[in-house]
Amino acid sequence: MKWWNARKRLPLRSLCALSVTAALLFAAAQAADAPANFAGMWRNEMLPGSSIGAMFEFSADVPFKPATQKIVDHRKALRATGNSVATAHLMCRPTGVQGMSSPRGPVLIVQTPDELIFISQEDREVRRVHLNQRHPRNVKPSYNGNSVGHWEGATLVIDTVGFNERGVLEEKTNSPLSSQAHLVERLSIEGDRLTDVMTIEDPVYYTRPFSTTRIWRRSPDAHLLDYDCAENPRSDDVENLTFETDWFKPVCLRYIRDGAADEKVTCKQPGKKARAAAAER
Amino acid sequence: MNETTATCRILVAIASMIAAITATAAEPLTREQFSGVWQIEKPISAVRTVSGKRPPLLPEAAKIYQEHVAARRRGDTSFDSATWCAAAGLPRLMLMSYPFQIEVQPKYVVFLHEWNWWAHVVYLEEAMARRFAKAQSGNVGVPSAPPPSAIDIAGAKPDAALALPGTDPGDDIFEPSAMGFSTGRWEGNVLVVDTSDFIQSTLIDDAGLPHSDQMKVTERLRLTKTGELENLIRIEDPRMYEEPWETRVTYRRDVSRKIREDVCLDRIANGQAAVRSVP
Repeated sequence: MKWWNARKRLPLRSLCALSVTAALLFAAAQAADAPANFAGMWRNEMLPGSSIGAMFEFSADVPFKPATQKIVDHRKALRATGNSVATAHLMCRPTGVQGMSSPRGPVLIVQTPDELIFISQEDREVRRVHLNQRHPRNVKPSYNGNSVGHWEGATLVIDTVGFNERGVLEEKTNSPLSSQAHLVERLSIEGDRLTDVMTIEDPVYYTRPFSTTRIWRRSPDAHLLDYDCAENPRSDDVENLTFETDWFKPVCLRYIRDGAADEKVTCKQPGKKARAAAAER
Repeated sequence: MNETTATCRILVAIASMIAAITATAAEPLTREQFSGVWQIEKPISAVRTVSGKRPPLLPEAAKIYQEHVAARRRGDTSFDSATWCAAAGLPRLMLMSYPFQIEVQPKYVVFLHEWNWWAHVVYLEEAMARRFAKAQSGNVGVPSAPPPSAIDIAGAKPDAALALPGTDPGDDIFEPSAMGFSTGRWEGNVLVVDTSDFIQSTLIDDAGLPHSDQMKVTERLRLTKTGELENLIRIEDPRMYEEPWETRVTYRRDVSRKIREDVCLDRIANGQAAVRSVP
């Protein structure tokens, strides 16, 4: 039976029921599988009123390798003496995983068919998730890495690789991340809550993959303020920091002498050696 | 046509409508043609008015401007906070030779500048309702957030120090800033963006045209018939200029371009310029 003869053979009543069912099924499928709408303003739920410390901790039981534990202990000790390690966050760079797990201010999500863009007030971050794409073959390492996302029904699964080794997992321990770090997130929405289950895998520093969950709440009345970390580079903000590499050493500073701030910011271009070393890393 | 056929047609029509409605629900909304990556056609170092004249600086402002020009000539850019990668401010970011992406959303229009990964949000009327209500009741607060480094270095009680004012979800806080605060509206197919609440430390252009914290910037963005994006920028700043003045720039769409992660502080550490000079 050829398909164009089907109409003649099928009773009209059945055909009608079939068409209606098909159309309704299509509608239902659209509704069930429609990508969730993440667009709009959000805030991290673990803010005042909740356990504020929790939002800066990735997880209570991060499986450090012994060498990683040493790094973390050392960085904690430095922090206790007021000589914190100069991290991407402290040195006004994008913060990658930390920025995604611990936004302090509101986050605006822009959603298009091709892209999800997360814009955070603090730390100031712009993070892009390319939808329905693969990671490029040679990912250029960056603070935020390369993120691709695909829909599993209404859940968005984000896969991020290509971190540049300059970020940390989170602010409390400043635990390191290697260029092999792999972040997988599952984002879903229920009511006005966004749940992000983050799973990190980094065989260089951790013995196994580990997860944490972040919950954001819709905050339609919030506005993003400018958070300009680099605006006033006071020397006394950085003079006690511990620089593990030269990469984050500031070029421009407003020197504080005898308690008084210089009128002008002074920039000292790094020497050729430092420049070459920085470029190499 | 018998009764069954008629009923069937109606039912199918209704079902199809439901299907169509659910199918279109996730699609982008109006004015989407503004969305995309744009690059200024003729990068501007020293801005001129629409009639090609020098902006009408008041005598005091003209003196400041000449000082800036002279300082830059002798290699001293300490008057320009973009030198150390502070926010370049508006309208300067719209005049620089770095690409930017526009994304139009129902409540927001977002400008994603490549330069030092600055994003600027324009709040359309719907996103502003509560601010207006609060402003009328005189309930708009002032933040006092310390720089992030101050928080961390405080060290001893990090958790307590992290409970910043301004992070309470109930707060709705505004303070003057380099990028100002922008509200927008659609006048037909023209996007009108009003920006105020500026700080004084940024410049209008690379050359060093000054402005005060009283500056109001109005941008009228429209797509031309030839597919460019035109921006008619009006500057109103009675402390620096004799009268309001306008300049016009156009941007070319670049479909092949993606906005990259540009980190100004890494560039200057690497011996490059904070702001690429205009060729």
